[in-house]
Amino acid sequence: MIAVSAQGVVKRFGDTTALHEVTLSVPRGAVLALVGPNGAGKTTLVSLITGTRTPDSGRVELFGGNPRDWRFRRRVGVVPQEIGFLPCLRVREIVDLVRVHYDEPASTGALLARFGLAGDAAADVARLSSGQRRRLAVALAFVGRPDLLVLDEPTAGLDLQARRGLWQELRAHIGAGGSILLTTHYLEEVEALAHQVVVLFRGRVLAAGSVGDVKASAAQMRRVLADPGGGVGTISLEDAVTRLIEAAQ
Amino acid sequence: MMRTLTAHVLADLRMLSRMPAFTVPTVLLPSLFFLMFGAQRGPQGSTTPLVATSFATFAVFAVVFFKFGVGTAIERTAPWTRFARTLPVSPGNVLAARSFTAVAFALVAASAVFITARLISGVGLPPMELARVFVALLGGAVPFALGGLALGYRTSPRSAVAVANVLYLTLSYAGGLWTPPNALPPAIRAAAGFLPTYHWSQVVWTAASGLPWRGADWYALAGWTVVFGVLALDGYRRDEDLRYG
Repeated sequence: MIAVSAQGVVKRFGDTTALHEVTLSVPRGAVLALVGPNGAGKTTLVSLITGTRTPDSGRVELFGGNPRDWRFRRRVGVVPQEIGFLPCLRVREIVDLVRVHYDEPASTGALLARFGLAGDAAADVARLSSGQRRRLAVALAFVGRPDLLVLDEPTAGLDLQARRGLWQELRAHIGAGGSILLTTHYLEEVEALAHQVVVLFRGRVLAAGSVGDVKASAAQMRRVLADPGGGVGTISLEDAVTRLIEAAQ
Repeated sequence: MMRTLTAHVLADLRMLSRMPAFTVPTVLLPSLFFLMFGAQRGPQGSTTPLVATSFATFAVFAVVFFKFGVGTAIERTAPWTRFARTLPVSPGNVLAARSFTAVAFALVAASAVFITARLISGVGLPPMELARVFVALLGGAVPFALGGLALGYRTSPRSAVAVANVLYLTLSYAGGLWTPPNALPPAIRAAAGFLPTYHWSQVVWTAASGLPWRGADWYALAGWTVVFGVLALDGYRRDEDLRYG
């Protein structure tokens, strides 16, 4: 069962081509990490998958349907890169508003407790710290007990403890058969969580596969570039991604 | 569908009622203006309720124009709006909720003026006239809601406030919502007949006076509804293409 499928996707903004023939899929029970520098096209791809944009060509499917059709978004929880809430509402009111969109939502109290916000239920969202806002955004993604989580830099701005706490939640989600599409700049997060990695650069897929596959691609490149010391075992994912991007520039 | 619509209406009502920047100018200011300027024109008698209808129109104008104008300009660029588009709900649901909220606030704002008038004069409109006035207020508000949308899709959140205020105050004055049209300067009086606020005030006054409505006023409002509707639709499509295309 494929949660997300993108086939030959092209997206242009005026004269700029943000995505060139991108193909990927997120199987059920897997974590796919999208990595790449700013401007690589990660958020554009996420917006196509969550139905907030449409591809110029190619095909994007969410559980076999068009993400623009709201009925196919029932099984998806999203953490956007840019977070904002309705002003003047309390934390509990925001969660309750999101809950009504789902048939069997998680309970508000339990959800807030899971994400360390139980004591802030009555707080005005404007008074939350940036870390609390990020945690609330992540909690909202879990409200509908989703089969797929689409997380655009979900741990940006979180402290180490909160980040590790989120990793645990994500592992539990995978353990229960869920899928995750994750964008992040933290490559240790990718190594800790991802089954598959797609390296994007200037809208093109530079490498795709398991963490080991991506390292092997970079190691292969080092050998080609007369660096015989470079093997899979000696290269970190960060080095591998950096090398792939430098080679593409 | 009803459940999500109700939840969005309640959230919108909560949000706006906690926002003095919205409630003061839309709900309180028209009643205050009526006390300061309108009540003096009909101190003891039956003219006070008629003058109150003008200020009630001014109140409803404020609600729909600012809710749909400034509200749209702010919401269309807000991160929450983008997030809400990922929820399993049609965008039309959110617009419907916004409309319900505007009607609710419009009724409160207009009622506040009528209650103020009743308290200071002891005279109110008969129930049938009052019911027709509310029909005229809400029916006549449609082109202004669409005008607000047209404005909201063409202005930034900052400029929307300034532009909306200029249009709102100018159209209110020149359309005769503060001063009867025959008391306006001749040049403005000549132009008033072309303004949507003039025709709106006419349908409200004729309803308050117990007279039959003139078809010409409703036709003029229908014409403005088409004009603003086309502008709003064009703005909506351009914004959709820019942000969600």
